[in-house]
Amino acid sequence: MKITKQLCKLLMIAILLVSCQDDKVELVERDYSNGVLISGEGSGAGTGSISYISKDQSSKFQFIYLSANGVELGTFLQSMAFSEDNAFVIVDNANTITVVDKATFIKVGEITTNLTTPRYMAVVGDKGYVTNWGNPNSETDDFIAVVDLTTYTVSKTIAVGNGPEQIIEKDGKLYVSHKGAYSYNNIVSVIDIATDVVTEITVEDNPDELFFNDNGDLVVLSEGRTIYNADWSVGGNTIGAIQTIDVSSNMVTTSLEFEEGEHPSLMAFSEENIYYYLSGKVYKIASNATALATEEVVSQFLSGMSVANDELHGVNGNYSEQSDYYVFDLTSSEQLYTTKVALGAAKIYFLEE
Amino acid sequence: MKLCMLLFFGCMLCCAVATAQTDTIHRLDEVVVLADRYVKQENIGQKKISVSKLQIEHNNNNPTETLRFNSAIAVRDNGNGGASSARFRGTSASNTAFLWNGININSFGLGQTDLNGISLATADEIIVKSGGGSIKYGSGAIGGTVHINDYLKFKKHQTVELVSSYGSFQTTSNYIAVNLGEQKWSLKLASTYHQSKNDYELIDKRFKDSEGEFYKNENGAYKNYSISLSAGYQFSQKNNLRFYTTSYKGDRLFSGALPNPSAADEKYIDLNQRNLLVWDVENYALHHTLKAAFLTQEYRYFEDKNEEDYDFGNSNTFVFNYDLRYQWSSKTSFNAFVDLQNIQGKTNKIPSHKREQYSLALGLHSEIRANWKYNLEVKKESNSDFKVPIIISLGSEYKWGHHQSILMNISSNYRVPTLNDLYWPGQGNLDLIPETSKQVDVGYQYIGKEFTLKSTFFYIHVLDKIVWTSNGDESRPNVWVPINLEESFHKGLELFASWEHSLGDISSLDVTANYIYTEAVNNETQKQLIFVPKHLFNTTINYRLKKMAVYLQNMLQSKVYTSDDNIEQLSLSGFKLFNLGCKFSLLEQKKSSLYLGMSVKNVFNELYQYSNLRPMPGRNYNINMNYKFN
Repeated sequence: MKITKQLCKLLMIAILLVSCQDDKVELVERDYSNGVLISGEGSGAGTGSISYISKDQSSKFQFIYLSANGVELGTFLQSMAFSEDNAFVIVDNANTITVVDKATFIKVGEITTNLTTPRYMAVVGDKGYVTNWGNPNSETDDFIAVVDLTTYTVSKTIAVGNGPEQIIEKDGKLYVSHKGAYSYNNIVSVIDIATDVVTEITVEDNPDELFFNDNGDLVVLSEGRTIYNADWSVGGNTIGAIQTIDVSSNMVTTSLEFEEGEHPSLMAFSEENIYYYLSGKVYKIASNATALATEEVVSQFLSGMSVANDELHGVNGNYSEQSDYYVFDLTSSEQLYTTKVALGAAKIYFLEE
Repeated sequence: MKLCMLLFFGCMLCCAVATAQTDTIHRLDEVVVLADRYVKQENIGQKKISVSKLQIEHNNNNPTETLRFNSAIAVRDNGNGGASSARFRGTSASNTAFLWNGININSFGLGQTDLNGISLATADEIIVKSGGGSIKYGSGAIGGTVHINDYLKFKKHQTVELVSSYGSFQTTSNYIAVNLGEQKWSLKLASTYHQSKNDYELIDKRFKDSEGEFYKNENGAYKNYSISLSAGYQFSQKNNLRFYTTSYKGDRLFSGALPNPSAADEKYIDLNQRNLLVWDVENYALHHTLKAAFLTQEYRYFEDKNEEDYDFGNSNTFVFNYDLRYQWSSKTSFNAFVDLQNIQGKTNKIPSHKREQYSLALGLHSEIRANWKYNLEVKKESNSDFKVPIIISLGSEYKWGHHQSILMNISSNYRVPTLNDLYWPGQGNLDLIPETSKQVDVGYQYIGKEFTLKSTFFYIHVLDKIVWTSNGDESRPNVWVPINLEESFHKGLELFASWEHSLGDISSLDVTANYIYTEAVNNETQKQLIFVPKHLFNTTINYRLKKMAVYLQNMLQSKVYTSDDNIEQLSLSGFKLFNLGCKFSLLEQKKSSLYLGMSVKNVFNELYQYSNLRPMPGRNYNINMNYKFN
């Protein structure tokens, strides 16, 4: 009798504790096609996620993929790419590209095979071109995966130099910056889509952000790198630069070099102006400038930024909680808006109908 | 939730009251010499529980599971078999000191012990001591200590024990232990072998592959072996020399997370070797203990298991300490403790670095009245890397009647930065100072013949916690660096209850339970620290009837937040787990005994996880046998 009583009590405790649990997420269908998307990489604190802020900033939704699908993305969400109807969410650690409807973010497909540490993707017609590091420590297994966007399978791969990062397309050619994965590199690859022929252009160390200016020239931001001695003390630096490349000759035409030890990490382009970020400050120069700026337009620690309509949108990624998102007016340098967005926020995409 | 809490405490109280009516305990002391006397006998005023060999066996000699189901420690692993860390009372994993026969085995690189990188199978006993009052163990003992002890028996004996189990996911756990001894000498030789394919189904119903099946835990296989030897020679009852040595090799893969577990290809190897020589002499009122130890630790991390390249780190530690106790009167003893350590560590990215530390501790044990004992200890360490504060511990125990006592402990402690914190290339921070803590424990204990209750309220203030953050260095944004950032307050209640009852010779019942309520709050944000459950509860019920024994294990953990801002979407749900097992005695003779057993783990196939998108195994089965002869 006594024993039974004790057991019953223990069981009661168990049941009580267990019944105090939360409910699951409810699925919601919303239209995210007119506003700003912020992708967060995620970390040990949580998986990659996407935040949405409407154009007029009147509404904000977090975890939009989770809300639309009831499941999380993997970690780390490296970048997104967009086609007419779909968005492609690239999670590098999970070797996965998740395909969603661009408006609702409801999943329509995924690519989980033949990708190894995928980083960025360019959409050209019904093909996606995805940069892959392979094993980040290996300098010889890097490739571009060509994805058939009708079947969501990798149809072929094109071998390229170490650490391909960002990728953009112009006139049947792909332009790839090679930041160098876990080591370093100093090339931009040009790939002819018709023939798969790869040509390399040498730039400064660790090229990352790149875009075409209104002249049709390729502008590349190279971060430069810190050189370590055998004992891991700092032995020196290679320079960072913003370089302009004439793509008819693949020659570097202008090279705006940073001071030794300065490593610019972000760059954006809007209305003939280049915006770049260096150590807590954003600077602005004309795309035909012959010298770097001396005075900043905005002072704010950032890990990701985009510029549109004379507004700078930036995020300061936090990997242990939600990150900060800022909007600055570039004429007045005033902060217009700030809010919390995805864990490990890194990239900002403007979507407009 | 409030209502739940109220009901819960109500129930706990009922339990305590209903069973607290019992009598004295009389257990025969065996002639056992522990490698580490301090924690068991000299530490006053703190809650200690011991985990028996049987409990370790019930959890298949898996260190992570053993502590999860039998202590108030929150153990979190990165998927089943992955890196596993233990935290007391919401303090960090590097605030939990693991001691092997009294020697700290936390890694020099990370400052913590990976529970899936050690073996407990050959240990005779594990003592879990909550609270920061064990100042002799110095750095890393802020939250509490876990003692892994080997026994040596100085009496005529000879036993061989063979334990083997096999179960789901091709998991096997085996060990053999040989104990031999006479009045003069004692020997224990043991070896373990564990292996698992660990390819269980990830039972999160939201994720299915293209065929509609659950994904599997890919790249999760592990195997590890260890061999250990303990030997002792007794010159006289009061003079003995002991030697302990153990080697461990662990080889495991790190599994992938949902939604695409096939992406995983990491591999990790642990190689540990430890040696300890102890000389114990009692001479009239003086008791000397001399210890010399040499430990080596190495890890190899393969980012891609198919490649030859790996990152590594290793360390060599020399420890020499001398403990002198002087029995001044029947009531009072004095204690002096000198500890010298020399640690040399490096990784493929950090050149060899040497740390030397010397410490001196002084202690006083005395009593105010026959039923009121206290002890006071002070320790000063001098460390080649930084200034370490003087720490103190004051413990007291007041007894009334035969069974009841009040315990109290006030202490301060610290944790020194690790090799990685200081020297990680491009990121280490040489300006770090040790984390420090102040702690108060007040407890009530009832120790009766059948029923035991150990309870303690705790309050801890941890200052200058070392946190790796991407915003730690203003001049280098987005570079992860460790800084002395956080201040946190931890308060709560720990309970341990056990009840054993025998119904004649034919049957017996025993129940043990642990519960801890933890509020661990970051002082700046006032939010609960990540991965700290407010409620943690486990219980084991053993019932024996003639030649049969059954047990039920249960464990509950409440929701944990995974982000500093405690947002709901970034949290892991609470869960309840039940394991059920039974065993039959097939042979029970003077010379030999044989048990066959089986168990079902996670009986209700509950989805539970300790890390995001890494579900733990669903229902799984195991058969086991234990054969002893002499």
